[in-house]
Amino acid sequence: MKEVKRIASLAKLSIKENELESFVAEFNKILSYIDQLSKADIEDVSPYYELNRQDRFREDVVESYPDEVIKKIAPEESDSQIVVPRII
Amino acid sequence: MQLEAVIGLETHIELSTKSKMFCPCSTDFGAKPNSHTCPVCLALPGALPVMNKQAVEYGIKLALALGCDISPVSRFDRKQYFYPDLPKGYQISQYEYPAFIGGTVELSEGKRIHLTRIHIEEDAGKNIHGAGADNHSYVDLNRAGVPLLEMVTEPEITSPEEASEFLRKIRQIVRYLGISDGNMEEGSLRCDANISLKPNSSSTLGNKVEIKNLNSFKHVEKALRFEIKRQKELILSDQEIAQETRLFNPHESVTYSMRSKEDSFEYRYFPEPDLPLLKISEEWIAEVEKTIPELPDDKKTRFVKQYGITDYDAGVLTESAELADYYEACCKKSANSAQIAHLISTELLAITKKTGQDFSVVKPEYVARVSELMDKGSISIKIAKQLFPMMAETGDDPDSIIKKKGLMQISDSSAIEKIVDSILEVNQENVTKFRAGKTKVLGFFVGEVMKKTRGKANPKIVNQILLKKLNADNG
Ligand SMILES: [Zn+2]
Repeated sequence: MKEVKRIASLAKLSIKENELESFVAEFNKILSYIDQLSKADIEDVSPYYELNRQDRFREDVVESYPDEVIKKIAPEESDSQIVVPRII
Repeated sequence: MQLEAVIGLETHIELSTKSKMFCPCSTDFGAKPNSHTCPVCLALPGALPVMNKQAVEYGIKLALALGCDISPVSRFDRKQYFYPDLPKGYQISQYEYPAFIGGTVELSEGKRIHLTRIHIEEDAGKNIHGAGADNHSYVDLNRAGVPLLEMVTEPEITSPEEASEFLRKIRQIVRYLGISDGNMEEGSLRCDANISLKPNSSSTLGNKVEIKNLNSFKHVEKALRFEIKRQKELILSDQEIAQETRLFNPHESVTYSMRSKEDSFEYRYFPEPDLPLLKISEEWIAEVEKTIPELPDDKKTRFVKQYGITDYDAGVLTESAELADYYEACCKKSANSAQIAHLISTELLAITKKTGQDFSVVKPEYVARVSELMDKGSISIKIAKQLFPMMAETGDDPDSIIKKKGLMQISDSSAIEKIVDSILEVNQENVTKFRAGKTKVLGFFVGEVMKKTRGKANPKIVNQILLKKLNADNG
Protein backbone atom coordinates (compact mmCIF):
# COMPACT_ATOMS: atom_id res chain seq x y z
CA MET A 1 0.00 0.00 0.00
CA LYS A 2 2.77 2.40 1.01
CA GLU A 3 4.77 1.42 -2.04
CA VAL A 4 1.89 2.07 -4.39
CA LYS A 5 1.51 5.52 -2.86
CA ARG A 6 5.20 6.24 -3.32
CA ILE A 7 5.24 5.10 -6.93
CA ALA A 8 2.17 7.19 -7.62
CA SER A 9 3.84 10.26 -6.15
CA LEU A 10 7.00 9.65 -8.20
CA ALA A 11 4.87 9.42 -11.31
CA LYS A 12 2.94 12.53 -10.25
CA LEU A 13 -0.34 10.60 -10.24
CA SER A 14 -3.01 11.19 -7.66
CA ILE A 15 -4.73 8.06 -6.51
CA LYS A 16 -7.89 8.20 -4.42
CA GLU A 17 -7.90 6.29 -1.13
CA ASN A 18 -10.71 4.02 -2.31
CA GLU A 19 -8.77 3.11 -5.45
CA LEU A 20 -5.68 2.04 -3.55
CA GLU A 21 -6.84 -1.46 -2.81
CA SER A 22 -7.48 -2.31 -6.44
CA PHE A 23 -4.15 -0.87 -7.49
CA VAL A 24 -2.33 -3.02 -4.96
CA ALA A 25 -4.02 -6.09 -6.43
CA GLU A 26 -3.09 -5.05 -9.97
CA PHE A 27 0.49 -4.29 -9.01
CA ASN A 28 0.85 -7.69 -7.40
CA LYS A 29 -0.47 -9.34 -10.53
CA ILE A 30 2.07 -7.49 -12.67
CA LEU A 31 4.90 -8.23 -10.27
CA SER A 32 4.15 -11.94 -10.16
CA TYR A 33 4.08 -11.95 -13.93
CA ILE A 34 7.50 -10.28 -14.02
CA ASP A 35 8.69 -12.73 -11.37
CA GLN A 36 8.45 -15.49 -13.93
CA LEU A 37 11.50 -13.92 -15.56
CA SER A 38 13.66 -14.59 -12.55
CA LYS A 39 12.84 -18.27 -12.90
CA ALA A 40 14.39 -18.42 -16.35
CA ASP A 41 17.75 -20.15 -16.60
CA ILE A 42 20.22 -17.53 -17.82
CA GLU A 43 23.39 -19.25 -16.70
CA ASP A 44 25.00 -19.21 -20.14
CA VAL A 45 23.38 -16.10 -21.53
CA SER A 46 25.26 -12.81 -21.62
CA PRO A 47 23.38 -9.52 -21.25
CA TYR A 48 22.04 -8.17 -24.49
CA TYR A 49 21.23 -4.54 -25.04
CA GLU A 50 22.49 -4.21 -28.53
CA LEU A 51 19.99 -3.14 -31.09
CA ASN A 52 20.70 -4.07 -34.62
CA ARG A 53 22.28 -0.71 -35.25
CA GLN A 54 26.01 -0.93 -34.76
CA ASP A 55 27.85 2.32 -34.12
CA ARG A 56 25.22 4.57 -35.46
CA PHE A 57 26.57 8.11 -35.36
CA ARG A 58 25.61 11.44 -36.82
CA GLU A 59 28.18 13.86 -38.17
CA ASP A 60 28.09 17.22 -36.40
CA VAL A 61 26.01 19.04 -39.00
CA VAL A 62 23.18 21.44 -38.23
CA GLU A 63 19.81 21.00 -39.87
CA SER A 64 16.95 23.17 -38.82
CA TYR A 65 13.54 21.66 -38.53
CA PRO A 66 11.29 23.39 -41.05
CA ASP A 67 8.06 23.65 -39.08
CA GLU A 68 7.74 25.54 -35.90
CA VAL A 69 6.53 22.44 -34.13
CA ILE A 70 6.26 24.26 -30.87
CA LYS A 71 3.33 26.40 -32.05
CA LYS A 72 1.41 23.26 -32.92
CA ILE A 73 2.04 21.30 -29.76
CA ALA A 74 2.24 23.89 -27.00
CA PRO A 75 -1.18 24.50 -25.42
CA GLU A 76 -0.16 28.07 -24.72
CA GLU A 77 2.71 30.07 -26.10
CA SER A 78 4.10 33.58 -25.60
CA ASP A 79 6.94 35.07 -27.67
CA SER A 80 7.76 31.53 -28.81
CA GLN A 81 8.09 30.33 -25.23
CA ILE A 82 5.90 27.56 -23.89
CA VAL A 83 3.69 28.82 -21.08
CA VAL A 84 3.11 26.52 -18.11
CA PRO A 85 1.77 27.07 -14.59
CA ARG A 86 4.43 28.72 -12.45
CA ILE A 87 6.94 26.11 -11.24
CA ILE A 88 8.49 27.89 -8.27
CA MET B 1 37.97 20.93 17.74
CA GLN B 2 39.67 21.32 14.37
CA LEU B 3 37.29 20.76 11.49
CA GLU B 4 38.42 20.03 7.97
CA ALA B 5 36.31 20.66 4.87
CA VAL B 6 35.81 17.74 2.51
CA ILE B 7 34.59 18.89 -0.89
CA GLY B 8 33.68 17.03 -4.07
CA LEU B 9 32.63 18.78 -7.27
CA GLU B 10 30.31 17.80 -10.08
CA THR B 11 31.10 19.93 -13.07
CA HIS B 12 28.97 20.14 -16.19
CA ILE B 13 30.85 21.12 -19.31
CA GLU B 14 28.76 22.21 -22.26
CA LEU B 15 30.45 21.05 -25.44
CA SER B 16 30.90 23.43 -28.35
CA THR B 17 29.57 21.13 -31.05
CA LYS B 18 27.54 22.81 -33.78
CA SER B 19 24.57 20.48 -33.32
CA LYS B 20 22.90 18.82 -30.35
CA MET B 21 23.81 15.45 -28.80
CA PHE B 22 21.07 13.37 -30.39
CA CYS B 23 19.53 15.55 -33.12
CA PRO B 24 20.76 18.02 -35.77
CA CYS B 25 19.34 21.16 -34.09
CA SER B 26 21.77 24.07 -33.68
CA THR B 27 23.42 24.72 -30.32
CA ASP B 28 23.86 28.48 -30.91
CA PHE B 29 23.37 30.54 -27.78
CA GLY B 30 20.84 33.37 -27.66
CA ALA B 31 18.53 32.36 -30.54
CA LYS B 32 14.77 33.00 -30.56
CA PRO B 33 13.15 30.71 -27.95
CA ASN B 34 12.35 27.22 -29.21
CA SER B 35 13.66 27.95 -32.71
CA HIS B 36 16.28 25.22 -32.26
CA THR B 37 13.93 22.33 -31.64
CA CYS B 38 12.75 19.30 -33.55
CA PRO B 39 10.71 16.15 -32.90
CA VAL B 40 13.73 14.48 -31.21
CA CYS B 41 14.53 17.15 -28.64
CA LEU B 42 10.83 17.87 -28.13
CA ALA B 43 10.25 14.16 -27.47
CA LEU B 44 7.51 13.71 -30.03
CA PRO B 45 6.34 10.11 -30.39
CA GLY B 46 8.37 8.02 -32.79
CA ALA B 47 11.44 10.28 -32.85
CA LEU B 48 14.75 8.46 -32.39
CA PRO B 49 17.98 9.89 -30.95
CA VAL B 50 21.25 9.44 -32.90
CA MET B 51 24.62 10.11 -31.27
CA ASN B 52 26.71 13.09 -32.36
CA LYS B 53 30.12 11.66 -33.23
CA GLN B 54 31.90 14.94 -32.58
CA ALA B 55 30.52 15.14 -29.03
CA VAL B 56 31.88 11.68 -28.24
CA GLU B 57 35.20 12.69 -29.75
CA TYR B 58 35.35 15.78 -27.54
CA GLY B 59 34.78 13.47 -24.57
CA ILE B 60 37.65 11.24 -25.70
CA LYS B 61 39.87 14.34 -25.99
CA LEU B 62 39.20 15.39 -22.42
CA ALA B 63 39.64 11.83 -21.18
CA LEU B 64 43.03 11.61 -22.90
CA ALA B 65 44.10 15.00 -21.53
CA LEU B 66 43.21 14.00 -17.96
CA GLY B 67 44.41 10.42 -18.12
CA CYS B 68 41.00 8.77 -17.69
CA ASP B 69 40.41 5.14 -18.61
CA ILE B 70 38.27 5.06 -21.74
CA SER B 71 35.61 2.36 -21.59
CA PRO B 72 35.58 0.31 -24.79
CA VAL B 73 31.85 -0.11 -24.23
CA SER B 74 29.62 2.24 -22.28
CA ARG B 75 25.90 2.72 -22.11
CA PHE B 76 23.29 5.44 -22.05
CA ASP B 77 20.58 5.32 -19.41
CA ARG B 78 17.38 7.20 -18.79
CA LYS B 79 17.30 9.38 -15.71
CA GLN B 80 13.68 10.06 -14.90
CA TYR B 81 12.38 13.20 -13.30
CA PHE B 82 9.57 15.64 -13.78
CA TYR B 83 10.36 19.20 -14.62
CA PRO B 84 9.14 21.29 -17.54
CA ASP B 85 12.69 21.85 -18.82
CA LEU B 86 12.78 18.19 -19.79
CA PRO B 87 10.26 17.34 -22.49
CA LYS B 88 10.89 13.58 -22.50
CA GLY B 89 10.35 13.17 -18.75
CA TYR B 90 13.86 11.73 -18.61
CA GLN B 91 17.35 12.87 -19.40
CA ILE B 92 19.59 10.64 -21.49
CA SER B 93 22.69 10.21 -19.36
CA GLN B 94 25.20 7.51 -18.43
CA TYR B 95 24.81 5.89 -15.04
CA GLU B 96 26.08 2.37 -14.54
CA TYR B 97 28.63 2.31 -17.34
CA PRO B 98 30.17 5.76 -17.91
CA ALA B 99 32.38 6.35 -20.94
CA PHE B 100 35.39 7.61 -18.94
CA ILE B 101 36.64 6.47 -15.55
CA GLY B 102 39.31 7.90 -13.25
CA GLY B 103 41.84 10.55 -14.28
CA THR B 104 43.45 13.42 -12.40
CA VAL B 105 43.65 17.20 -12.45
CA GLU B 106 46.84 18.74 -11.10
CA LEU B 107 46.64 22.04 -9.23
CA SER B 108 49.40 24.65 -9.05
CA GLU B 109 50.92 23.42 -5.80
CA GLY B 110 51.24 19.97 -7.32
CA LYS B 111 48.21 18.59 -5.49
CA ARG B 112 46.34 16.06 -7.59
CA ILE B 113 42.56 15.87 -7.53
CA HIS B 114 41.34 12.43 -8.62
CA LEU B 115 38.30 12.08 -10.81
CA THR B 116 35.70 9.43 -10.22
CA ARG B 117 34.30 9.56 -13.72
CA ILE B 118 33.31 11.63 -16.71
CA HIS B 119 30.14 10.75 -18.57
CA ILE B 120 28.21 12.05 -21.54
CA GLU B 121 24.69 13.42 -21.24
CA GLU B 122 22.28 15.97 -22.65
CA ASP B 123 21.39 19.37 -21.23
CA ALA B 124 17.87 20.44 -20.24
CA GLY B 125 15.93 23.50 -21.41
CA LYS B 126 15.62 26.81 -19.61
CA ASN B 127 12.73 28.13 -17.54
CA ILE B 128 11.93 31.71 -16.74
CA HIS B 129 9.53 32.16 -13.86
CA GLY B 130 6.88 34.86 -13.85
CA ALA B 131 7.18 37.48 -11.13
CA GLY B 132 4.49 38.89 -8.87
CA ALA B 133 0.96 38.37 -10.14
CA ASP B 134 2.18 36.43 -13.18
CA ASN B 135 1.75 32.84 -12.09
CA HIS B 136 3.26 31.28 -15.19
CA SER B 137 6.64 29.91 -16.10
CA TYR B 138 8.07 30.20 -19.60
CA VAL B 139 9.94 27.34 -21.20
CA ASP B 140 12.62 27.62 -23.86
CA LEU B 141 13.91 24.27 -25.13
CA ASN B 142 16.76 25.53 -27.32
CA ARG B 143 19.26 24.17 -24.82
CA ALA B 144 17.46 20.84 -24.38
CA GLY B 145 19.67 18.16 -25.90
CA VAL B 146 22.91 20.16 -26.06
CA PRO B 147 25.80 17.76 -25.28
CA LEU B 148 27.36 17.88 -21.83
CA LEU B 149 30.19 16.13 -20.09
CA GLU B 150 29.63 15.63 -16.39
CA MET B 151 32.84 15.33 -14.41
CA VAL B 152 32.75 14.01 -10.85
CA THR B 153 35.71 14.38 -8.48
CA GLU B 154 36.59 12.34 -5.45
CA PRO B 155 36.01 14.30 -2.22
CA GLU B 156 39.62 15.51 -2.12
CA ILE B 157 39.20 19.26 -2.28
CA THR B 158 39.77 20.92 1.09
CA SER B 159 39.07 24.63 0.65
CA PRO B 160 36.89 27.06 -1.34
CA GLU B 161 40.02 28.45 -3.01
CA GLU B 162 41.08 24.99 -4.12
CA ALA B 163 37.59 24.39 -5.56
CA SER B 164 37.77 27.52 -7.65
CA GLU B 165 41.32 26.75 -8.75
CA PHE B 166 40.12 23.32 -9.86
CA LEU B 167 37.38 24.90 -11.96
CA ARG B 168 39.75 27.44 -13.51
CA LYS B 169 42.05 24.61 -14.44
CA ILE B 170 39.18 22.71 -16.06
CA ARG B 171 38.20 25.83 -17.96
CA GLN B 172 41.77 26.30 -19.17
CA ILE B 173 42.04 22.69 -20.32
CA VAL B 174 38.69 22.57 -22.16
CA ARG B 175 39.60 25.82 -23.91
CA TYR B 176 43.02 24.47 -24.91
CA LEU B 177 41.32 21.37 -26.27
CA GLY B 178 38.74 23.50 -28.08
CA ILE B 179 35.88 21.37 -26.79
CA SER B 180 33.99 24.06 -24.86
CA ASP B 181 34.13 27.84 -24.48
CA GLY B 182 34.17 27.28 -20.71
CA ASN B 183 32.14 30.42 -20.04
CA MET B 184 30.66 30.18 -16.57
CA GLU B 185 28.51 33.29 -17.10
CA GLU B 186 26.80 31.76 -20.12
CA GLY B 187 26.38 28.46 -18.33
CA SER B 188 28.92 26.52 -20.40
CA LEU B 189 30.57 25.50 -17.15
CA ARG B 190 28.29 24.75 -14.20
CA CYS B 191 29.09 23.24 -10.90
CA ASP B 192 27.41 21.48 -7.97
CA ALA B 193 29.45 21.06 -4.79
CA ASN B 194 29.20 18.40 -2.09
CA ILE B 195 30.57 19.49 1.23
CA SER B 196 30.90 18.05 4.69
CA LEU B 197 33.18 18.73 7.62
CA LYS B 198 35.23 16.21 9.51
CA PRO B 199 37.17 16.60 12.72
CA ASN B 200 40.73 16.19 11.47
CA SER B 201 41.45 13.55 14.07
CA SER B 202 38.69 11.35 12.72
CA SER B 203 38.03 9.56 9.49
CA THR B 204 34.25 9.69 9.76
CA LEU B 205 32.54 12.30 7.66
CA GLY B 206 29.73 14.52 8.78
CA ASN B 207 26.50 14.60 6.84
CA LYS B 208 26.90 15.71 3.26
CA VAL B 209 25.25 18.84 1.89
CA GLU B 210 24.92 19.47 -1.82
CA ILE B 211 24.96 23.02 -3.18
CA LYS B 212 23.47 23.26 -6.65
CA ASN B 213 23.90 25.55 -9.64
CA LEU B 214 27.00 27.52 -8.85
CA ASN B 215 27.62 29.56 -11.96
CA SER B 216 30.69 31.67 -11.30
CA PHE B 217 34.08 31.13 -9.68
CA LYS B 218 33.17 33.73 -7.07
CA HIS B 219 29.87 32.01 -6.28
CA VAL B 220 31.61 28.70 -5.79
CA GLU B 221 34.03 30.23 -3.29
CA LYS B 222 31.43 32.29 -1.48
CA ALA B 223 28.89 29.47 -1.22
CA LEU B 224 31.49 27.06 0.14
CA ARG B 225 32.83 29.63 2.59
CA PHE B 226 29.34 30.27 3.90
CA GLU B 227 28.59 26.57 4.11
CA ILE B 228 31.79 25.80 6.05
CA LYS B 229 30.92 28.52 8.55
CA ARG B 230 27.30 27.34 8.86
CA GLN B 231 28.25 23.69 9.38
CA LYS B 232 31.00 24.58 11.85
CA GLU B 233 28.55 26.53 13.98
CA LEU B 234 26.07 23.65 13.94
CA ILE B 235 28.70 21.09 14.92
CA LEU B 236 30.17 23.24 17.68
CA SER B 237 26.73 23.77 19.17
CA ASP B 238 26.04 20.02 18.98
CA GLN B 239 23.33 20.29 16.37
CA GLU B 240 22.85 17.85 13.56
CA ILE B 241 23.60 18.83 9.97
CA ALA B 242 20.69 17.86 7.76
CA GLN B 243 21.62 15.92 4.66
CA GLU B 244 20.04 18.10 2.03
CA THR B 245 20.30 20.04 -1.21
CA ARG B 246 20.85 23.78 -0.89
CA LEU B 247 20.91 26.71 -3.29
CA PHE B 248 23.17 29.75 -3.23
CA ASN B 249 21.78 33.26 -3.03
CA PRO B 250 24.46 35.47 -4.60
CA HIS B 251 22.88 38.71 -3.37
CA GLU B 252 23.25 37.80 0.28
CA SER B 253 26.11 35.28 -0.12
CA VAL B 254 24.17 32.63 1.79
CA THR B 255 22.92 29.14 0.98
CA TYR B 256 19.38 28.03 1.72
CA SER B 257 17.63 24.68 1.80
CA MET B 258 16.00 23.51 -1.41
CA ARG B 259 14.97 20.00 -0.48
CA SER B 260 15.77 17.47 2.20
CA LYS B 261 16.91 13.90 1.71
CA GLU B 262 13.42 12.50 2.32
CA ASP B 263 11.90 14.11 -0.70
CA SER B 264 14.99 13.72 -2.83
CA PHE B 265 14.49 12.34 -6.29
CA GLU B 266 14.41 8.70 -7.11
CA TYR B 267 15.65 8.70 -10.69
CA ARG B 268 14.74 5.08 -11.55
CA TYR B 269 17.56 4.74 -14.08
CA PHE B 270 17.25 2.10 -16.77
CA PRO B 271 19.11 1.44 -20.04
CA GLU B 272 18.10 3.73 -22.91
CA PRO B 273 16.53 1.32 -25.41
CA ASP B 274 16.65 3.83 -28.28
CA LEU B 275 20.44 3.95 -28.43
CA PRO B 276 23.04 1.29 -29.17
CA LEU B 277 25.93 0.78 -26.76
CA LEU B 278 28.65 3.37 -27.18
CA LYS B 279 31.73 1.60 -28.50
CA ILE B 280 35.06 3.39 -28.56
CA SER B 281 37.76 1.46 -30.38
CA GLU B 282 41.54 1.65 -29.88
CA GLU B 283 41.83 2.94 -33.45
CA TRP B 284 39.42 5.75 -32.78
CA ILE B 285 41.30 6.75 -29.61
CA ALA B 286 44.60 6.74 -31.54
CA GLU B 287 43.01 8.96 -34.19
CA VAL B 288 41.78 11.46 -31.58
CA GLU B 289 45.10 11.41 -29.74
CA LYS B 290 46.74 12.96 -32.79
CA THR B 291 44.56 16.04 -32.37
CA ILE B 292 45.49 16.73 -28.73
CA PRO B 293 47.46 19.98 -28.59
CA GLU B 294 50.26 20.75 -26.14
CA LEU B 295 48.51 21.19 -22.77
CA PRO B 296 48.97 24.17 -20.43
CA ASP B 297 51.28 22.49 -17.89
CA ASP B 298 53.59 21.11 -20.58
CA LYS B 299 53.62 24.43 -22.38
CA LYS B 300 54.50 26.28 -19.19
CA THR B 301 57.41 23.95 -18.46
CA ARG B 302 58.65 24.33 -22.03
CA PHE B 303 58.41 28.14 -21.92
CA VAL B 304 60.53 28.33 -18.76
CA LYS B 305 63.15 26.11 -20.36
CA GLN B 306 63.12 27.36 -23.93
CA TYR B 307 62.72 31.09 -23.33
CA GLY B 308 64.42 31.44 -19.95
CA ILE B 309 61.46 33.22 -18.39
CA THR B 310 60.17 33.08 -14.82
CA ASP B 311 57.64 30.53 -13.67
CA TYR B 312 55.25 33.38 -13.00
CA ASP B 313 55.54 34.88 -16.49
CA ALA B 314 55.23 31.42 -18.04
CA GLY B 315 52.03 30.88 -16.06
CA VAL B 316 50.58 34.18 -17.25
CA LEU B 317 51.58 33.57 -20.88
CA THR B 318 50.13 30.05 -21.02
CA GLU B 319 46.82 31.10 -19.47
CA SER B 320 45.30 30.65 -22.92
CA ALA B 321 46.61 28.91 -26.03
CA GLU B 322 46.03 32.14 -27.99
CA LEU B 323 48.22 34.20 -25.67
CA ALA B 324 50.92 31.52 -25.69
CA ASP B 325 50.91 31.53 -29.51
CA TYR B 326 51.07 35.33 -29.47
CA TYR B 327 54.13 35.27 -27.21
CA GLU B 328 55.87 32.77 -29.41
CA ALA B 329 55.11 34.90 -32.47
CA CYS B 330 56.76 37.89 -30.71
CA CYS B 331 59.82 35.80 -29.86
CA LYS B 332 60.23 34.82 -33.50
CA LYS B 333 60.73 38.52 -34.31
CA SER B 334 63.13 39.45 -31.56
CA ALA B 335 65.53 37.54 -29.36
CA ASN B 336 65.09 39.05 -25.90
CA SER B 337 62.38 36.59 -24.88
CA ALA B 338 62.53 37.39 -21.16
CA GLN B 339 62.03 41.09 -21.80
CA ILE B 340 59.19 40.36 -24.22
CA ALA B 341 57.53 38.12 -21.64
CA HIS B 342 57.75 40.90 -19.13
CA LEU B 343 56.41 43.54 -21.52
CA ILE B 344 53.41 41.38 -22.34
CA SER B 345 52.57 40.34 -18.80
CA THR B 346 53.03 43.74 -17.18
CA GLU B 347 52.36 46.32 -19.91
CA LEU B 348 50.25 44.85 -22.69
CA LEU B 349 47.90 42.77 -20.55
CA ALA B 350 47.50 45.59 -18.02
CA ILE B 351 46.29 48.02 -20.67
CA THR B 352 44.07 45.60 -22.59
CA LYS B 353 42.52 44.41 -19.35
CA LYS B 354 41.70 48.02 -18.54
CA THR B 355 40.20 48.79 -21.95
CA GLY B 356 38.57 45.40 -22.41
CA GLN B 357 40.44 44.90 -25.69
CA ASP B 358 41.97 41.65 -26.85
CA PHE B 359 45.76 41.59 -26.54
CA SER B 360 46.01 41.02 -30.28
CA VAL B 361 45.16 44.69 -31.00
CA VAL B 362 48.89 45.23 -30.68
CA LYS B 363 50.62 43.16 -33.34
CA PRO B 364 53.29 40.72 -32.11
CA GLU B 365 55.94 42.37 -34.29
CA TYR B 366 55.26 45.69 -32.50
CA VAL B 367 55.98 44.16 -29.09
CA ALA B 368 59.15 42.63 -30.51
CA ARG B 369 60.13 46.03 -31.94
CA VAL B 370 59.61 47.80 -28.58
CA SER B 371 61.90 45.24 -26.97
CA GLU B 372 64.45 45.76 -29.72
CA LEU B 373 64.38 49.55 -29.30
CA MET B 374 64.94 49.09 -25.58
CA ASP B 375 67.91 46.82 -26.24
CA LYS B 376 69.42 49.38 -28.58
CA GLY B 377 68.98 52.08 -25.98
CA SER B 378 66.72 54.05 -28.32
CA ILE B 379 63.95 54.13 -25.73
CA SER B 380 63.81 53.61 -21.98
CA ILE B 381 61.41 51.36 -20.10
CA LYS B 382 59.55 54.56 -19.21
CA ILE B 383 58.87 55.27 -22.87
CA ALA B 384 58.01 51.62 -23.48
CA LYS B 385 55.38 51.91 -20.77
CA GLN B 386 53.91 54.93 -22.57
CA LEU B 387 53.94 53.18 -25.92
CA PHE B 388 51.62 50.30 -25.00
CA PRO B 389 48.48 52.36 -24.29
CA MET B 390 49.15 54.35 -27.48
CA MET B 391 49.64 51.24 -29.61
CA ALA B 392 46.49 49.71 -28.16
CA GLU B 393 44.52 52.87 -28.87
CA THR B 394 45.79 53.62 -32.37
CA GLY B 395 46.94 50.24 -33.64
CA ASP B 396 50.05 52.06 -34.93
CA ASP B 397 53.55 50.63 -34.89
CA PRO B 398 55.99 51.88 -32.21
CA ASP B 399 58.37 53.63 -34.64
CA SER B 400 55.73 55.92 -36.08
CA ILE B 401 54.36 56.72 -32.60
CA ILE B 402 57.85 57.56 -31.37
CA LYS B 403 58.38 59.79 -34.37
CA LYS B 404 55.02 61.50 -34.13
CA LYS B 405 55.25 62.11 -30.38
CA GLY B 406 59.00 62.80 -30.34
CA LEU B 407 59.68 60.04 -27.85
CA MET B 408 63.10 58.98 -29.09
CA GLN B 409 65.48 58.69 -26.20
CA ILE B 410 68.04 61.42 -25.74
CA SER B 411 71.38 59.65 -25.67
CA ASP B 412 73.33 62.66 -26.84
CA SER B 413 75.68 63.35 -23.91
CA SER B 414 76.20 67.02 -24.66
CA ALA B 415 72.45 67.65 -24.72
CA ILE B 416 72.02 65.83 -21.42
CA GLU B 417 74.96 67.65 -19.92
CA LYS B 418 73.32 70.97 -20.63
CA ILE B 419 70.16 69.87 -18.89
CA VAL B 420 72.08 68.48 -15.94
CA ASP B 421 74.02 71.73 -15.58
CA SER B 422 70.88 73.80 -15.49
CA ILE B 423 69.33 71.55 -12.87
CA LEU B 424 72.39 71.51 -10.64
CA GLU B 425 72.49 75.28 -10.81
CA VAL B 426 69.00 75.86 -9.47
CA ASN B 427 69.30 73.13 -6.83
CA GLN B 428 72.49 74.09 -5.07
CA GLU B 429 71.03 73.08 -1.73
CA ASN B 430 70.74 69.45 -2.81
CA VAL B 431 74.17 69.56 -4.43
CA THR B 432 75.62 70.51 -1.05
CA LYS B 433 73.66 67.70 0.60
CA PHE B 434 75.03 65.19 -1.87
CA ARG B 435 78.54 66.32 -1.29
CA ALA B 436 78.00 66.10 2.45
CA GLY B 437 77.40 62.38 1.92
CA LYS B 438 73.65 62.27 1.44
CA THR B 439 73.95 60.36 -1.84
CA LYS B 440 70.26 59.56 -1.76
CA VAL B 441 69.50 62.92 -3.39
CA LEU B 442 70.87 61.45 -6.61
CA GLY B 443 67.38 60.10 -7.16
CA PHE B 444 65.99 63.59 -6.90
CA PHE B 445 68.32 64.82 -9.66
CA VAL B 446 67.51 61.88 -11.93
CA GLY B 447 63.83 62.63 -11.42
CA GLU B 448 64.35 66.29 -12.32
CA VAL B 449 66.19 65.40 -15.53
CA MET B 450 63.45 62.97 -16.50
CA LYS B 451 60.79 65.55 -15.75
CA LYS B 452 62.51 68.06 -17.95
CA THR B 453 62.96 65.58 -20.81
CA ARG B 454 59.57 63.97 -20.33
CA GLY B 455 61.18 60.63 -19.63
CA LYS B 456 63.21 60.62 -22.81
CA ALA B 457 66.71 60.95 -21.41
CA ASN B 458 68.74 57.77 -21.44
CA PRO B 459 68.83 56.92 -17.72
CA LYS B 460 72.26 55.29 -17.91
CA ILE B 461 73.85 58.38 -19.40
CA VAL B 462 71.98 60.67 -17.02
CA ASN B 463 73.38 58.72 -14.09
CA GLN B 464 76.88 58.80 -15.46
CA ILE B 465 76.86 62.52 -16.11
CA LEU B 466 75.25 63.36 -12.76
CA LEU B 467 77.77 61.30 -10.83
CA LYS B 468 80.64 62.74 -12.80
CA LYS B 469 79.54 66.32 -12.17
CA LEU B 470 78.59 65.85 -8.53
CA ASN B 471 81.76 64.00 -7.64
CA ALA B 472 84.18 65.96 -9.84
CA ASP B 473 83.47 69.31 -8.21
CA ASN B 474 83.77 67.67 -4.86
CA GLY B 475 87.41 68.53 -4.38
ZN1 LIG C 1 16.34 18.77 -32.02
